[in-house]
Amino acid sequence: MESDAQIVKTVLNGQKEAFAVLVKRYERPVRLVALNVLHEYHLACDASQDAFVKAYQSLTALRNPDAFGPWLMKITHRCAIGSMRRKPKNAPLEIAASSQFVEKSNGRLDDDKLRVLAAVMKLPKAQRQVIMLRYFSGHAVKDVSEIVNRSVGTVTKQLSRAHHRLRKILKEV
Amino acid sequence: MDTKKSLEKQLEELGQAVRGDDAFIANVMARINAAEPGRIKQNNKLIFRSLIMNRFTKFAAAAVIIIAVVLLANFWTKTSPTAAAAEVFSQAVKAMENLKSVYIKLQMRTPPNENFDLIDINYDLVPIEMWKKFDGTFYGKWRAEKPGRVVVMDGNSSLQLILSSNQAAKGSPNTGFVMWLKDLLDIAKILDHQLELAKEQGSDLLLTHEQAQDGHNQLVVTVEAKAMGNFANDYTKNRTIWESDNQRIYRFDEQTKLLEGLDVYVHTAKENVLVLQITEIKYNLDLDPALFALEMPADVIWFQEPQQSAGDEKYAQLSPKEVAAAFFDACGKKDWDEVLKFYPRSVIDQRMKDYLGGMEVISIGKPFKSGLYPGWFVPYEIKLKSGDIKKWNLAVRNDNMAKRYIVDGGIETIP
Repeated sequence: MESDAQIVKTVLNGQKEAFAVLVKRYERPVRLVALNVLHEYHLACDASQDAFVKAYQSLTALRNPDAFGPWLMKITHRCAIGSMRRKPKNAPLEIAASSQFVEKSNGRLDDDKLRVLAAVMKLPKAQRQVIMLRYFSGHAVKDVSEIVNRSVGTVTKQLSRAHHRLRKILKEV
Repeated sequence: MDTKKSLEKQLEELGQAVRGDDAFIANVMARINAAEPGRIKQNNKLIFRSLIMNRFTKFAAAAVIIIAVVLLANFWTKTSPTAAAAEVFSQAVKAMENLKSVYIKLQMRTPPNENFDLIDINYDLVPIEMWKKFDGTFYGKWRAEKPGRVVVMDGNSSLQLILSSNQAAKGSPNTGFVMWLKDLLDIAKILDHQLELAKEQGSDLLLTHEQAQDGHNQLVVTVEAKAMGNFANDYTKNRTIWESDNQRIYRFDEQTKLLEGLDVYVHTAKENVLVLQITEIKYNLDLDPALFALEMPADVIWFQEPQQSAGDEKYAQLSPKEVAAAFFDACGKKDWDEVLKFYPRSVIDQRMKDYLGGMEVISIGKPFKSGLYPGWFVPYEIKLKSGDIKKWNLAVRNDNMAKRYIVDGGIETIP
């Protein structure tokens, strides 16, 4: 499996269709980051699209192609905040444990899922990235290690630390 | 279940709660193609970073930025007509948030049988009708109809039926069967997109107050849009609204802020030609559910997305020019099984067999790109078995699952 950095280089070399691999790889994580801010599926999808397009257009500004994942999440967060500002009725910028703003139908997340999502967002960015790729995008640990260009041992350790931290955060909530 | 497994299960369920969607990827890539064809914006950020290397320049840069932002904000809010027009757009977006349905009747200079996107200033105005039901689901349901084609999106997938040739295609909710016109159905979004477009292109939006024929007041927003795409070869220039320099005039009811009309004029060197005009818009009608279902004729010919299959590897290696040559060669030999490799349908219809069977290639030229088309145009000259000489451009593209070039247009079989 090609790493994010390899794909970024391919895109920068003019093969823009390779960007579709990154879109597929990060589609779910990006939507969830947007959903964490916007709490509304439709808006989150629009913001996610905006984020990918902005990331593509700013790709030359990415100094470390290995950091594509966390960089994309930062762009997504900004796009979602921007979308929130355009739609003030949707209120909170950060998630509350039992949000009154979230409906439980029409593809929106229930309170339990929102709680877990909010906890994931509190992880350090390297841990957050491996958690997202492993569980949200459904990649095997070996694939995650190839995507992020880290050893399997490092990714396993990061996942383990992330689990520990998530359990702690979820207990605190 | 131990704590670790329980946490993993919760994380997996969270991931599955957001469905993966090919249409999403297609949409992003289409926007990338449309917004910045073939090019990534240059990195001005690096220049900025090199400027703020020391504290003094950092401070100076910050001061300059603050002054610039204040001046720009002042300019934007107080002096720019764009700001006033933008305000109308944002009010219109709000007005349209709670719509249940929209019905749009328009006329467009487009061939009745051809795709919904194709325009030409020399064509007659053809009637088009569109319906959309906003039912609380992500995509809603919609239908678009012109004399020779119907597209229906039932909430899960879209179906296109070409009435004149009895051909059909199935796609995801966002497959581009209707292209620019589909944005009209996302009525709140198109206005937002116009604003973004004006900002991107640095063009102005002009706001005027006018009176409609029945005396009620209207807000009229005029947008100048530049052609998008690469026109080193201008073959597709002015053949779609996106690929034309045009003026769009939106009319809103001053009180409700709902869109009441749209005229689109294409600018040519000689004249401005009306290519699209909304003649009727109705909101919140009770739409017949039957509008969002499409019954297919029993003998319909289906477009089939080329798949990666064993033995077909050689086709993926062919260049656009080689594909054109192989396609015409197979037509000349009436080897219709081979033609299907390049023109993926359930069968080749008799009219195409009659038209291209036994033809001879006179020449195949150098492929070129034009406008926003994601594939290539291959110039060709052929002699039909009737003796007629046909000279045109074959459209081929490879943005399919098998990543191989297929014939997408540029063959005329229907009189």
